[in-house]
Amino acid sequence: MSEVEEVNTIKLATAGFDARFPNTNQTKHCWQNYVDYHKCVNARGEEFAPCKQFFRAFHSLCPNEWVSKWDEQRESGNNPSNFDV
Amino acid sequence: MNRSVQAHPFHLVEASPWPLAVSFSLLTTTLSGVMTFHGYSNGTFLLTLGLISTVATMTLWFKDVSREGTFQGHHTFAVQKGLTLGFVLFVVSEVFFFISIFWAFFHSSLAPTVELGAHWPPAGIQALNPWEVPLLNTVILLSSGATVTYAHHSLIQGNRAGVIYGLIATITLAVVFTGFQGFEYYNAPFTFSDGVYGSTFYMATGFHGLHVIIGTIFLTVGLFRVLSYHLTDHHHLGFETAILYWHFVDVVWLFLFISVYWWGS
Amino acid sequence: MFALRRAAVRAIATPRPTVVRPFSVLAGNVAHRDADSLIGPGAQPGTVPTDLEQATGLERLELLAKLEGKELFDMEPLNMTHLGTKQNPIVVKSMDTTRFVGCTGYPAESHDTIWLTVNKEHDFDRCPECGSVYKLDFQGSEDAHGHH
Repeated sequence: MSEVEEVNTIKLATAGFDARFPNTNQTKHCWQNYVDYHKCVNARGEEFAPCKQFFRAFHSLCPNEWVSKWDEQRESGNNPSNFDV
Repeated sequence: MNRSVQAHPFHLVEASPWPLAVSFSLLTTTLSGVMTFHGYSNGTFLLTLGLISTVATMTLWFKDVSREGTFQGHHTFAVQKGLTLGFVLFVVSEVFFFISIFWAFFHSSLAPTVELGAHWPPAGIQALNPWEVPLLNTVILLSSGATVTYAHHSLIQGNRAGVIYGLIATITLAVVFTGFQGFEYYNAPFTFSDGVYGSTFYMATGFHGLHVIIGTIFLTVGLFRVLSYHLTDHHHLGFETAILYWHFVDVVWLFLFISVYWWGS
Repeated sequence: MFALRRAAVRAIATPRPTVVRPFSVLAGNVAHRDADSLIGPGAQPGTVPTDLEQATGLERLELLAKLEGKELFDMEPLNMTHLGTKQNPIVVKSMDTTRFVGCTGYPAESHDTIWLTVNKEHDFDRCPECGSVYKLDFQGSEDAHGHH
């Protein structure tokens, strides 16, 4: 906690423990948050604040290659996951 | 009467070329199968050769066994017990073979990967409706189990007509089953190459179908032996083993129907 | 269709040597109507053969013995009545000049199975674990290995 106002503290955090994914292999944890974020955005719009939690989670957990691959799939309509609620 | 009889009830078989011949045929079949899968030249030719020679050598082997048992009387009660145990253990080994295939199916389907959309059937796969042809096939196989049991009881009761008609009914049902499976295969919206769904589906149902065909041949041989008066009302191991094999095939189908067709759809 | 025929046939119990089974390689021998023949009469056409009608060879011998209430083959394990000694050995009958014995001592199952070869030429054979003495009682004929 800084007392000088100009210094910005950077808070580092990662996705918290999710009991649905207790094991070392966190693939599904990453994927679930990716899907939930896009489901959230599809249903409530991009500005809906609670969706940001999912966004932060999958950006922490997922390899960037996966995210770009899934984004490309979504764009071409080839993503096998279901993004509709 | 001066007859010298062996002092033990067991059958010490005369030297036979068939085990080695069948082994070489099976080796040819498996190696050429691999060659075919990997696109090596002459693969399919050798595969055909291997399959034909396997069937031929097995036929000649079993013909010898029939002669030793039915015509030479070597199959005393102790020998019958040994043959029965041997066949039961063989069926157990087949059960384990199918366990491994079902393991593969459940491994992939219980926790589908993200590449599949974490869903089973995977995204893009249109599974067959289990309540159409698969349900019909279930009824067909269960009925064939009943007809073969009728044939067996007829044999024990000395009812020759019953055995023959029961066996013909069983074999007909078996052929109809195979026909319907072939129709499904031909018209299915997915192939063997369609990801893990295609692989597990066709490995499981394909090997099952192969065993149905083998069982059908086994029963047909039984029919010919009944027609030729080889089998008696209490000594008919070739027939009983065929029936056991057929029930095994039926049970595997039930597992297939419940797991792959119904739960997996 | 076959039922009528079957009813008529059941009444006939005597062997009919002229019945020839299809594909039978023994067809030529059926003419010998020997009471001790190991070839049965065969089934009537249109019926299911019974074991008594159709069994042959060793199987037939076994069946005929069973019908007399006897067992053709003695499958009982060797009866250990006592610990064999040179004066009072355990006698092992054998059709061949040697026979294998699995000794478990006296009383039976006293020690792990030890396999011995009891030989006609030996005066006696002894188990290395419990010392039980065995002697072969040769029941076979002198010409060694008559067939095959």
